Amino acid sequence: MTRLKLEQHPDRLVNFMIFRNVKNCVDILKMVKSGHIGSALISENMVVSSLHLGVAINRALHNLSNGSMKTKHINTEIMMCLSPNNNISHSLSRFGLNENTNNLVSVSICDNEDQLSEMTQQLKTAINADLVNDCRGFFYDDFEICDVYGISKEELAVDTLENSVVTKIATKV
Amino acid sequence: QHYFIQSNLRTCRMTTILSQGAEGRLFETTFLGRPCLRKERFKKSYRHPELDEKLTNKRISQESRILSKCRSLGIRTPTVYYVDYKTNSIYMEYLKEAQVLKDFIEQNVSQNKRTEVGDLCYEVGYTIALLHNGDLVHGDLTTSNMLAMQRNNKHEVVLIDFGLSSSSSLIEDKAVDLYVLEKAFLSTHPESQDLLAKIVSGYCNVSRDQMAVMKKLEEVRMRGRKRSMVG
Repeated sequence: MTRLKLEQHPDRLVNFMIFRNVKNCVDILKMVKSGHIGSALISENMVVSSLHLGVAINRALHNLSNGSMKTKHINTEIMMCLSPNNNISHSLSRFGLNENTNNLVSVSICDNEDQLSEMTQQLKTAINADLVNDCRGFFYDDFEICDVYGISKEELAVDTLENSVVTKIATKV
Repeated sequence: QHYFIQSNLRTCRMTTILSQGAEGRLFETTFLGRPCLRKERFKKSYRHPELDEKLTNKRISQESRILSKCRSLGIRTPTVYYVDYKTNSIYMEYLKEAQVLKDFIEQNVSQNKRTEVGDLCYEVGYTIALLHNGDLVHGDLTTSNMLAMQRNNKHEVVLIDFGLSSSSSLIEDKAVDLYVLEKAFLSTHPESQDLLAKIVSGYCNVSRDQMAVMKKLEEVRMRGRKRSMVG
C-alpha cells in the first residue's frame, strides 16, 4: 500500500494498491455495482504513475470540497479527473474495470487510519489477485494512453509521457 | 527571500514568495513532494467584482489551455499540476535546474561561450516559430520569459509566462510578437545583433509564413509601435 501525500488536502489519507492477475473481475464488478466497494478501482493499463493518479485525485478532492463535482461520488469523480474529457460514461468504461481486466489499481480516500484499514481489508478480501509490493512502477499501455489522451509523437519528443498526460488532465476545462 | 505563512482553513502551509509583478504573485511550494510554483493572479479591486471574476477566470483558463497546447506543438513548457479557479492560481512544476535565458546569455557571453549562446538563440527562434505555426502568440517575449534547460548534454528552450498570450493567425500579431522580442533583446543584451540574427534564422527555418512575417516585421519596425494597428 502506498500513501499519496497531497499537500492541498492534509486532512485526507489517500492510499493506493496495485493488484495483478485478477481472477474474479465479474464478482468485483457486481460488488462495485451493489456499493460494496468503498474504493475507486482503476484499470492499471491506463495509469502512468503516482503523479498521474495524484493530480487526478487532487482535483477530484477540490471538486468535492467546493461542491463542483461532475459525478455523484468521489470515486467516480476520480475517474472523471483521470479522463481527458468530461464524458462520465466514457471515463468509467476507459479507466474503470471490465470483465477482462488483468491488473487494477485501488484508490482509497479515508479520514483516519481505522477507516483505511477497514477499506484495505475490504479490498484484500474482495479481490482475488496478487498484491504488488513495489508500487513505484505501473504497467501501462503506451499506445492506449497516447490514443485516449491524444498525445502525438511530436509531443512525446518534448517531455515525458507522464508530464504530457498530467498537463492534459490538469488543464482540462 | 520572504517567508509568507499562508493559512488555509485549519492548516498552515509554509510557502515562499518568489516574486511579485503587476499581475500577480509567484510562490514556491511542493506538489506530491515535487518542487512546485504557484502563480496567483491578483484580484483587481478597481473592477466590478463580478466582471473581475469572469475576466480573471477567462485569463487563467486561457493561460492553462495554451500551456497544454504548446506541448502538442512540440514546445517545452512547465507541467501543470492544478488550476484553481477559486484563488486564480496555476500550480506547475518548478524547473529548479533551468536557468532564465537572460542570465544564461549574460553569463556565457562574458565567459566567451558566444557560439553556445548563438546555438541556443537559434533554438529560441525555432521555438517561437513552432508557436506561431500553431497560431499562438506569446504576447510578452523577453529573455526573462524563457528558460535554458539542460537535457541530454544539450540546452533546450522552455517558454514560460503565457499571461498575455492569445491565439491568433494574423501575420500582424506574429510580427508584433517578434518586434517585442527584438526590442527587449537588444536593450537587455547590448551588442547582441549577431545573437538576434540567430533567433531570426531559427525562426525563418521553421516558420510557415516566414516571408510574410519578416515583411510585416519591417513595416512594424518603421512604425515604431508595439501595438497592432488593425481595427
